[in-house]
Amino acid sequence: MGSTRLLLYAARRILLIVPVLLVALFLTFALTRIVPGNPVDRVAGPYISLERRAELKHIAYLDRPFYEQFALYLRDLSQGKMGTSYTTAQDVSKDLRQRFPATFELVTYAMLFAVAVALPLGISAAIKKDSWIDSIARAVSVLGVSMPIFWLGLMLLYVFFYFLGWLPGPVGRTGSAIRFAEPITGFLTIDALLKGDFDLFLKAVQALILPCFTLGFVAMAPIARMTRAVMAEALQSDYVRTARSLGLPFRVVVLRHALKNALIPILTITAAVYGYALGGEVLVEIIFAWPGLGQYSYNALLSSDFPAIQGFVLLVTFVYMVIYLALDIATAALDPRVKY
Amino acid sequence: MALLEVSDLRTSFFLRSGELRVLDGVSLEIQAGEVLGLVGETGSGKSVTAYSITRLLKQPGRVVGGEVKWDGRDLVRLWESELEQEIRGKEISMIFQSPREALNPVITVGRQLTQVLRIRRGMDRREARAEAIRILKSVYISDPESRLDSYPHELSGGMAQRIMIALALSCQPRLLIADEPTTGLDVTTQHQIVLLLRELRDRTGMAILLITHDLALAAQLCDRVAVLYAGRIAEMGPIGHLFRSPRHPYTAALLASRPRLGLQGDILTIPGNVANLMRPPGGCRFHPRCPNATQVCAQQQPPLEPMDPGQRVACHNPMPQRQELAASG
Amino acid sequence: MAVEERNLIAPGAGLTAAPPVVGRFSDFVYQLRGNPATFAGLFIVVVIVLSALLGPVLARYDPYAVDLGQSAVGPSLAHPFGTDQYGEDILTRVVVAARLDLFMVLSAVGASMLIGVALGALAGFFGRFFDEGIMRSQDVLQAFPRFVFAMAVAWALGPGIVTVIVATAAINIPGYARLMRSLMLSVKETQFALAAVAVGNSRWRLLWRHLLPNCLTPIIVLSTLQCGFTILEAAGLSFIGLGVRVPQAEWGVMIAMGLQDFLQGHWWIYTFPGLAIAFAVLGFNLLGDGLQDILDPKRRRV
Ligand SMILES: Nc1ncnc2c1ncn2[C@@H]1O[C@H](COP(=O)(O)OP(=O)(O)OP(=O)(O)O)[C@@H](O)[C@H]1O
Ligand code: SF4
Ligand SMILES: [Mg+2]
Repeated sequence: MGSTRLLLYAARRILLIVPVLLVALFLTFALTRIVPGNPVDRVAGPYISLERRAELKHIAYLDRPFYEQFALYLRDLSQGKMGTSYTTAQDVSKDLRQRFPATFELVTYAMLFAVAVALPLGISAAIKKDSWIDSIARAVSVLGVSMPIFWLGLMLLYVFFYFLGWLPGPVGRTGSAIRFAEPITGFLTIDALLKGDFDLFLKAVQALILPCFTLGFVAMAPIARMTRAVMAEALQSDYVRTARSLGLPFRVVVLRHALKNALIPILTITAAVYGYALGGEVLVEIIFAWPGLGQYSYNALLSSDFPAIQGFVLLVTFVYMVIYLALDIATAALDPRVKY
Repeated sequence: MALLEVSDLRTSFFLRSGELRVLDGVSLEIQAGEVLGLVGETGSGKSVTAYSITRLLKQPGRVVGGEVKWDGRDLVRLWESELEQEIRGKEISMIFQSPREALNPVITVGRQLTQVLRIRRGMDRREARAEAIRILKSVYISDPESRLDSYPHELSGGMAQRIMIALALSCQPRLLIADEPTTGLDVTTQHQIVLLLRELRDRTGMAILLITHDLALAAQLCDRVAVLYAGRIAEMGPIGHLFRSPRHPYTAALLASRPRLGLQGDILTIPGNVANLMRPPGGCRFHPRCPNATQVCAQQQPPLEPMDPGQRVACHNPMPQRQELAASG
Repeated sequence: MAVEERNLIAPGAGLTAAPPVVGRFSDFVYQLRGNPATFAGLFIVVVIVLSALLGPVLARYDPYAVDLGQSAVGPSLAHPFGTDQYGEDILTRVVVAARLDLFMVLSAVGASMLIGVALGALAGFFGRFFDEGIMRSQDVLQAFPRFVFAMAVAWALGPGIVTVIVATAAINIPGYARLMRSLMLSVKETQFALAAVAVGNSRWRLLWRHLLPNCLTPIIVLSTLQCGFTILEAAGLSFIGLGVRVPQAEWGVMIAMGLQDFLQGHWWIYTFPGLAIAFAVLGFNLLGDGLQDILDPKRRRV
């Protein structure tokens, strides 16, 4: 019944993303051009001849006026090209594609972990206000937003790798130098299982534990806090009292009546946390030498790899906006009161 | 034997600034098939009485004393799980002051109804749907099939209240507690809801506890009326007696303050302020506002005592009985 | 609607236009007493401010005294927090760093407050294309994940104290602008704003004398919470080398120094600066949450 309208709404929202993305792209582009000095000069160092420099600048369109550079960048982008990275010497889009799965796997598991803990914790805290579980929920939420994520990662590494020796150190996705031939899904854990390589699966899981926990713990805090607040409000609502007055079991009242109402703010905060995790993830990847986008962007920043920086910011912003798009559509689907 | 017997019910809200004694010894009983009205000013504790009976008080309220006898069982001391499985919905159900907020905004009317039927009456999907349609018809909802797909915000106030009544009836309770079922509705709709409630009572034989501050509404529906003042029953008796010859000064004031014209008696105004429940006046809680007050009123709480046939009054200096009534009764 | 809520994760999300509680100081103290967490937050913030003010006076060592003979020594009586690779005393550096970190954070939050409040007030007060233009520009700013945006700005500006301030200020502006706009819209409708116009006050005077003071409470709460977030982000920038650089005594930089020595097991180099950050952020968060409870009439202690 409402599904066609929902589809139309989704289409409209997707179209609306384009102008914002263009402006964001322009901003990023402008940012990389206002940096003093020509990037080639900044990167090339003194031992490269002037002719070679001019040639490099020409390839990167850096000898043209600003607006032309932007137009050319857009043209290349429409063909899936994002310029050649100064450090890897291949197209940035290819770099990003290679590194995306590592990041995606890490962030996905971290978010799953965060939600899997925060939701029950927040709900129990809302049900039993001022109980021990409520105290735990509060402690988690205030500690999670107070700890620097990179420090938490270091402390965990010290305890579980250096001191106890239980988990692998900061050496990336497998905890060893094994490289995986051709990815199927890009998720190392899933690919290993698909190929029946149980040993690799275990290694991948072990390597994931600490970075996932680090990122997940920080992401958990706001979700648990929001869940507690909205569930507490929902449980005190009139419609919950109605459900109880009809003798519906408490489990049904909590999960099907209260939670269904609380879901929208919880989803919203989760999306916001996801965006936050995209930033925190950079720091986590640096600590754990995780071969993903964060690590890539870090190296790009250190070596002033302009096309790479631009590509990274663009991709992350795009992902961020897609998440919000998904959220808006989910909200529209979940809440009959939203007009669209 | 009475269907429901409430005796000396005490309920408090525990605020940080202290204990708010909202109910201070409420006693009343309802016979099977009877409509009992519970009237009183705003804040007198009518809703709290209703929620105390089925233990649905919101935080930080708690029943602190008294008994609620139902079939020989004391609901105050029953396990929450027993209350949930055996009493709520099946024996006693409720309809609420603001129907649209009482319905879950993100679940369709049909689902809310069939969910109850499936969980509480063990029906399967098909049976539940058929039964839901039947119940909606019985509360005079036109085109019930398509109404099942509506969300509460798409309903008018009167429609929402009918849905609420349908929900409350879904498990065929023996007592319906109706907390101001007509506030917020326009006059025509109010009238329709009143007719519906009366018809349901006649058809199903269920008892109704009708909570209202609308005396005209009470007069239309009730067999007996209990008057609540600051968490205590001031007077209780058959509607005719009570309205024609009120014995408690508070009831008399209530009746006197009622607008004379028209059906509605919405706003009750009696000189003085409603009692402060944090530090209630000693003795009779009405004494600071009472024209009949004497020395003893400030010191001793008057017990609820039988006076005229079927009428009980808690007052040291009751109003005189009206002549015509004395002659006839 | 999502755009409005986009910064939920950001400090002070959900702050609404509550009429201020113009309270007496004694009332404030009463509210504080019933709220030990807030009290703890206030205490922590006071400790941080004191060490920022008095740190250099109290310190037993020079924070930049290189002593390679004492390189990376674990905690001892002479050096309770140990020393770093250069033999600098970590306790001294942690205490002294409070000044720099607090300076950067307060400057950033102050700057973003001035700009954001001005933008939001203009948008809310004048409406129309002012409103559209300003709010859409805030949308674009918020299209980037917070930290990634700060990273990009910091990189473009090159390392330094000013960079940290500008980058962290930039990401906080939309929060203020949105809050201020919604406050403006609701306060504008109130009786007393209408009354002030009726009495013949000019619009500017109305804005300055009547509307702004009424928006103060939520702004204070938001700023307190922003301080906590900004400490984390400033330290994060310095940690990855885009902010303040070695050998500055700054908490993020000190953790980065610890990272270099991680495999040697010199845990004290990064543990104590990290604790200092967590402690400071905790203080601002507890205080901010508490202020929200105390100043919001709906959530007050009764
Ligand atoms: N959740 C609560 N927290 C604190 N006090 C409450 C709460 N609910 C009710 N009370 C107190 O109990 C008293 C009685 O409330 P109740 O809702 O029973 O009044 P009422 O007679 O139903 O009035 P109305 O006609 O307005 O519905 C009120 O004075 C109120 O102060
Ligand atoms: S007991 Fe006294 S104060 Fe109370 S109602 Fe009767 S006369 Fe009035
Ligand atoms: Mg009521």
